[in-house]
Amino acid sequence: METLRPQLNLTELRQLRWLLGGLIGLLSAWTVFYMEVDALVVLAVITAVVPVFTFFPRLSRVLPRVFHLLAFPVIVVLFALDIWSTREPLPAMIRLALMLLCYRCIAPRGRREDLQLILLALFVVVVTGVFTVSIAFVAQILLFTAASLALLLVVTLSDARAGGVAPPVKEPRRFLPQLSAAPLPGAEAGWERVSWLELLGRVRAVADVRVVALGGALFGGVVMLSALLFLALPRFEISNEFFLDRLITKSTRTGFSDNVTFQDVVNIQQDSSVALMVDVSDPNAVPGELYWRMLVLDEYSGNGFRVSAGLRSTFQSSREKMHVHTWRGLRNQDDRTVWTLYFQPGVSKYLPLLGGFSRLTFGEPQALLQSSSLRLAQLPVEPAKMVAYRVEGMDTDGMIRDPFFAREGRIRVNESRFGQAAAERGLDPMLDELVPRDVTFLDLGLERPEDVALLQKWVAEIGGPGEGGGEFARRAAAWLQSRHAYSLSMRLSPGEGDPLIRWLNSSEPGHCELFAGGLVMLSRAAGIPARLITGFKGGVWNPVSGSITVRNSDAHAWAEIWDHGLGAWLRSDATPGAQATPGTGLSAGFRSLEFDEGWGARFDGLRVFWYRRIVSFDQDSQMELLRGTKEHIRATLESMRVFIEEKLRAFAAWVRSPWDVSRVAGLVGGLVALLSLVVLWRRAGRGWWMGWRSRRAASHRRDPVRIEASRWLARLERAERGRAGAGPELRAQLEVTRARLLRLRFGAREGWATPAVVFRQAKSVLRSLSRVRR
Amino acid sequence: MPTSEPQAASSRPQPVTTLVPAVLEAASVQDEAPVPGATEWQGPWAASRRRRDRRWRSLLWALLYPPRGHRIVPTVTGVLLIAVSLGIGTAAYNTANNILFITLSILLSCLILSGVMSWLNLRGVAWRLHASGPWRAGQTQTVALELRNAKAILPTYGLWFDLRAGEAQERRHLGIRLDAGAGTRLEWAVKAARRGRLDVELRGVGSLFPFGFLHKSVASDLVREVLVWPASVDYRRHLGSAAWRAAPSQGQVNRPGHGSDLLALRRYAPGDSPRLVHWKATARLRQILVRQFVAEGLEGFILQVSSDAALWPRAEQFELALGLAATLAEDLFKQERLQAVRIDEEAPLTVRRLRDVESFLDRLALLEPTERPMRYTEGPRASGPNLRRVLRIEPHGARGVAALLDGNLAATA
Repeated sequence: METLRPQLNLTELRQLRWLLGGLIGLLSAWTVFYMEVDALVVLAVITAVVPVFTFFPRLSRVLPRVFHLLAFPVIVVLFALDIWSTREPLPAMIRLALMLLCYRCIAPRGRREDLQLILLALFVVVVTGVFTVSIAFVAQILLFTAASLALLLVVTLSDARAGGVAPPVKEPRRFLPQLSAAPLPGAEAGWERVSWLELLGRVRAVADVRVVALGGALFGGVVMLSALLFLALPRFEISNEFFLDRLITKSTRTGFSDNVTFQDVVNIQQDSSVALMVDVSDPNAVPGELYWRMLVLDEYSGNGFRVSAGLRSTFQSSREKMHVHTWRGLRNQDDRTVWTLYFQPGVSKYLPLLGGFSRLTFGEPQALLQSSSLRLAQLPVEPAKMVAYRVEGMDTDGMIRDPFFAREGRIRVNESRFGQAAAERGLDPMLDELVPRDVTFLDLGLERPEDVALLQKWVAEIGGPGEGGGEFARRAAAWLQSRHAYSLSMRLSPGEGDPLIRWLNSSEPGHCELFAGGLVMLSRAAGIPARLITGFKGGVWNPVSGSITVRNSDAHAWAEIWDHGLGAWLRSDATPGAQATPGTGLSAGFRSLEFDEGWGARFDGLRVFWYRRIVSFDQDSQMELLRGTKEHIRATLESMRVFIEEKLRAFAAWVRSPWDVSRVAGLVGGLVALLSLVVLWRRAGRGWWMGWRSRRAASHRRDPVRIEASRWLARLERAERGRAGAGPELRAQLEVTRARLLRLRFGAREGWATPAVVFRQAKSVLRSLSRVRR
Repeated sequence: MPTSEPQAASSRPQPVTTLVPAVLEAASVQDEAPVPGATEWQGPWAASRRRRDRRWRSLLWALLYPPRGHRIVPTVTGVLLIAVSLGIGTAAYNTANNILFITLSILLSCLILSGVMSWLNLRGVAWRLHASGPWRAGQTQTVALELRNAKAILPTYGLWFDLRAGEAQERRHLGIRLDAGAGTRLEWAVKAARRGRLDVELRGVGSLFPFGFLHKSVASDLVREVLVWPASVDYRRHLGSAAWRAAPSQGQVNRPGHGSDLLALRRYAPGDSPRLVHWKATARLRQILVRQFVAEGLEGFILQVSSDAALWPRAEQFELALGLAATLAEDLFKQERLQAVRIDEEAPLTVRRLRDVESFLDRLALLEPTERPMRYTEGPRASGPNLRRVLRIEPHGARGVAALLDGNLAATA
């Protein structure tokens, strides 16, 4: 007799339900760690409280009734205060969801409360995933799905065990959990006294390996089906506006903002997280030196550089949100290299670019501010999630051409934007003497004449402005590198005066910002327009994904010096060890980059796959996939057709070739052998095979002989129906055959006739019956 | 059963058994033979056996168009899931956000998984009703639903069965796991309100398995008709005990019993006492023969019931009369004093065995007042002197019923 497996009783199901609820609460709450919404306090409370209450369910009964009475009103009041104080609806909603989640995890739960818990958890997981666009979302949503389905399964089983869904209990306050007043019908009192080890042992005893494996396979099927649905869901755009963006604001964390003080970029370098992932359609088009420009700063503030109001006025805003933004008239429109950049949130609202571009495409409609003279682009607000954009026709030679500046010696100021930009800086645009309208990139911004004199002295030491900006920049960079070593820390000798001038006057080591700032000041003192650029330098090649990874530790500052002869801004990096010369290493290819081959690279590769194939999947990708599938099917069919044609041609050639005795004998022999094999199989092989399987069958129901006998019995019964005209001899044969088949079907093996013989007999009777007219 | 006066003769409460379903051994459900009192197997497994030769085609077709009677309706949780899916789908299309598309895909997959698992749960399951008679009005009877899970690996969970018997209906839940290849019985204690024919039905089978998103139900037309005998009634015997008691001098009944006179010899049957062996005859005929004695001679009765509508103007009084007749018939048979029964002017039916009494009760179960005039004729006179006493059921007062023995009040109810 088969040993019956034990079954979980209602109490154990209840305990399992409690455990799964706690797990879901924790899992979903912890996803918020990936999102910067200032919910650390709530998260800490959840992390501390929920595991304790999950592990000791008795604590949920200890909570006084007044706690349940006040919980919901207090949470609502906290939410209202949160909204009022922060003015950010979405973070407040997430904190609200976390508080509710926490309460649901520690308060007794019925079916309704379990559903509420799942919905709250789903909200938290999805919103976090939408904002972070992290690859961790896949793991989070899969874990959440598995845990939720398990919880719903246990809820269904416990309801069935209890004899149906528990009727709602009428209570004076609807928000109170049912179980606080009425236990689940049939639930044994004191289910909260749980020994988790015992429960684990019981679950192991109850679980059937085959069923668990099948359940795992079904869940795998769900994942596969989800993937297929994701690919197959028709993609069409309705309005395409990411409304959640408006519910959350985010400030730049890393320092790539309009005002960069010395040490800001160095601080960014302390962070080794990924800032940018770059997919290049043609890896050989990657230049030898990658300088990702983000910000152009022109105004020296005494402790750093900032974007002047005039420079900010050069940014033109697109009238509406668009997928595609273009800069017409730029020379590099014929370059077919497509750069796809996945820019992480929390870095900056300025988009990293190598230079000017002809076409910039977003995955979703996006407003963009562009400055064609600066070759910069910025988003209106700091992005709360990863931004993917595709750039075509991007300049990579390190030169920014500006015909207007070459002609006028100043940046063209947009008057209508100028007032707005000045107001944003807290300046009065009406006071012309305070707010220069023309940006010449020559203003030193130094108050002390001694400092200016020092600069003039150093310019003379360097050899004067010379013939062009590029040549002066090389000399100035060499002069700087001869006086200063590179260091991430900034040391200044005590004394009065401008800090940058003091550093230049010393032999202290410095970081990239000081070198770049010093070069800008020296150039300006020499009468050459110069500006400071911040962004990223370099990146590593990830061979797993075939993409470039740029980390925050690659943050860098350099200068751009105006070369009047070329009519362009030349990149000049005075930092020791940097390639300062623009135009070098053009199209050196990805092999010129450092290769990243560690485990981190594999994960980054996975992340690029996630961004490339999942996050950026759109209607075009879908069409591409369809085309690819169609092409693959067509190619497969074509190769099959070719294969069949080849075989047919070979057969025809074989037939047409001269026949002789040996060929005829071989053909006949082959046919006879084949026929013999078929007959042998039908006469003996099939019976032996069935008998072998029959002897190994685990039960009667799986015994192939019994199954075959059952089929023949059914066939005979159908054939006999309505054929009353069968003769007595046939009827006798039928009865004998039926008796033998019944013995095969139900009888002991010892009493069997040879199954193959019986089946042949049944076949013969069936044929005879079919000849009798109905 | 000998009764004393006053006596509550036959109000015998029967235990109401509401059994916890017990899992049967796998082998016990392999029996294909028809069981008395049970219907044919029904359910997806039975249906699939009937159409085994076109199994895959029918399976695929059934996935597109569920068979007749199969319904899948979303529950509140399912509606919630669909609403959430719609909301996320709308947001996904509005924002072209692939995270939302992934979530939408997973939600839709869960819905599909729910449907597949629900189908798998019911697949291979069969059930049949056991509702064997006799039933007695007012008494609790047990309807058994036999279940089997013919699947090879997967257990079946969380089914419920909607049962109905007359006005009584109940939803019985299969609270346990029904393992692959195992069977179980669900029992329902039901009380028939009135006599007559009663259809015990399995109206449908449903399940919320696995996640409670979908309510899958399978309509069932499984009906078992049972005959409900009139209710047992409490009655009071009025004649002196001597009138009811046996009068041995009045002779013996020509049937086997426990008297002292030899009736015949018969072959030995297992269970016979060795004392009864007739050794001489055994030796002579070379086979074991035992003695069979004549039953004690007791004065028997003829129980006579009239269905004349004029006699029974009140329906409840008629029901009470039938109940009294049924109760008396049973009691007298147990006392071996029921000689014959008679309904209206039909020929009396001599009672020799239990089946005769049951036939009489079957008749009583379906008896309705008739409009034809009815006269009690002289009771049947059999050859034996002990077949003269007729117990006639007649109205007694406005609501009561009496059994008259040769015109004398013998019992009232």
